[in-house]
Amino acid sequence: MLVREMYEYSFIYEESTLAHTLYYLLAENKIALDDDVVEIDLNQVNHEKVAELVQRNVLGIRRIGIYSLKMDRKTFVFIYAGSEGEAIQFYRKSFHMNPLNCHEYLLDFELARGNDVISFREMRKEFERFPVVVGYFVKGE
Amino acid sequence: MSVVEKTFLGSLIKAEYLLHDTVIQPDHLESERHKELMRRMVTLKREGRNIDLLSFTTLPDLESFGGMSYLTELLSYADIKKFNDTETLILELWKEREKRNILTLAAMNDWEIAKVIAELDKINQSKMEDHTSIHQALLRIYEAPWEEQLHAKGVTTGIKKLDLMTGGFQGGEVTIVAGRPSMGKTDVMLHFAKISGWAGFLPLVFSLEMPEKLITSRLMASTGGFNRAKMRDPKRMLTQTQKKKWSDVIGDLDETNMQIFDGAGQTVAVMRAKTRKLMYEFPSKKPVVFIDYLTLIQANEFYGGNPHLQVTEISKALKTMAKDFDCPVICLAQLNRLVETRANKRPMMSDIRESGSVEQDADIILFLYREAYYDKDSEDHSLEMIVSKNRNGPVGTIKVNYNEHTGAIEDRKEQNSKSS
Repeated sequence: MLVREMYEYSFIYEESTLAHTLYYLLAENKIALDDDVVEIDLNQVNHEKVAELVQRNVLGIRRIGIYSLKMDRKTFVFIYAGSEGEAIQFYRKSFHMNPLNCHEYLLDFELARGNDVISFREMRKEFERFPVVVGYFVKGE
Repeated sequence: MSVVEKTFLGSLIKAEYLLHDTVIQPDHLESERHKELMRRMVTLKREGRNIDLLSFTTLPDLESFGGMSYLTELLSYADIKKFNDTETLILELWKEREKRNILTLAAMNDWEIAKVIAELDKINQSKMEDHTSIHQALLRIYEAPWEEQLHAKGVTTGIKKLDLMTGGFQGGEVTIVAGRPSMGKTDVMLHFAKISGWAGFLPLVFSLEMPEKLITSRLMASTGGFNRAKMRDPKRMLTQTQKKKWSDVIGDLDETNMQIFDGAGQTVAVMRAKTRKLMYEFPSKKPVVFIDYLTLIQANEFYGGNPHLQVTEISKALKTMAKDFDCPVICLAQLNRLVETRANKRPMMSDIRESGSVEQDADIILFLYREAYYDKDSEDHSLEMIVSKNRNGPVGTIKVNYNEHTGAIEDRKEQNSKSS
């Protein structure tokens, strides 16, 4: 795999740390886009600088995950949010109560909708603003 | 933020050459973020840099475009095949917005009717580049009688008489080559393709019927004069002299720069996308589009299974493609079986399968007819090309020599080739 491909993947899968690390290495001319990834020497990375880049989010990677929040014994609410905390806060604001628990779900999880399956990653495109309530799941229905 | 704009920008990132020939200006987009993004693309392009995803990472204020997350999202919307439709949609949306804006302004400020109309007309000007006043048109031909005629640069057909009659294939024109099965349609098309390639054009062959392998072997057979039956096993069946010739023939064919697409069931939109891409890859060459054959092209709509309406749509789309790209489009067509029932089996325009619209939309219609096809004992090895429609010239019949075994087509030696 080339650095170029890895860099692109890091955007697609929103791996902020990896993307910023590569960004740092590229900016410092320590690697080139057409190098093979095995050549990357991670000892060259100045981790403080990368941490700062991630903090400032220079590349503007905003990870929106899918969270499942338990409402009662049977009902689960799915929320797109930037972090677990954000999801819980949004839940409180929307339902005026605390969730029983909160777990992050896989974005690539596929669910049936209509005659098709759709992954959470695909479905995310349908929303403009985050956090947002996606839907409910009722156990045993 | 509309999906259309996302698709548009996504396509631009995915295939940057589209930025060259899009009619959309940044201001046509609705969202401010998208406008700014497109302006950035234009600047990047002007600086001679790529506009792919990775070059965006070097922008200083990524956050204002929504960051890389948003850009990758845009990319996932890209749909190059529908680019033309996307453009139209964006233009329509833009016009709609402008119209509302003008009407509100007009109502608030109590404009006069004439002003409202004038303002509304301005919106339509974005699509006004197809306009020529008779003034300009006349100016252009003012000196024509005294000037050496810049020979209308048609694509030569390789057949002298046909060139004289039609002026070669012209940009923006659709030529239909029709004939009964195994009359030699594909051979004629490949002949035209070869010749245009050698003349410095870029032949794009969309073979919806035959796989690329067969096309190549036919090209080899007709160019090298090899018997097509021998091409099945060239190692054993070709003679020593023919084998010596082999690499020369390959060299010759390579110079045609022919591009073959053998996907089945392509739509005109797909062909447009591919043509556009190749036009970008070979900027100095003018493309010539060959399609084998008409009814195999997939229509965009099903029309309740009505082939007549499907073909109508396709033939219109072909004409628009020819005009938009200003390139010749040569499309093969089948004839229906009615021909066989007549005493004189020379085809007529109404014999083209499925639709009358083909007759209207085509600029030149060529029918192929071989005497030997019906009369197996005939010694006549000629192929008649019957020009039965020619928008800018005479009609008539041209006879060429056709070698059934190799598929080669060549001019006839001057003799009694004059016919009705």
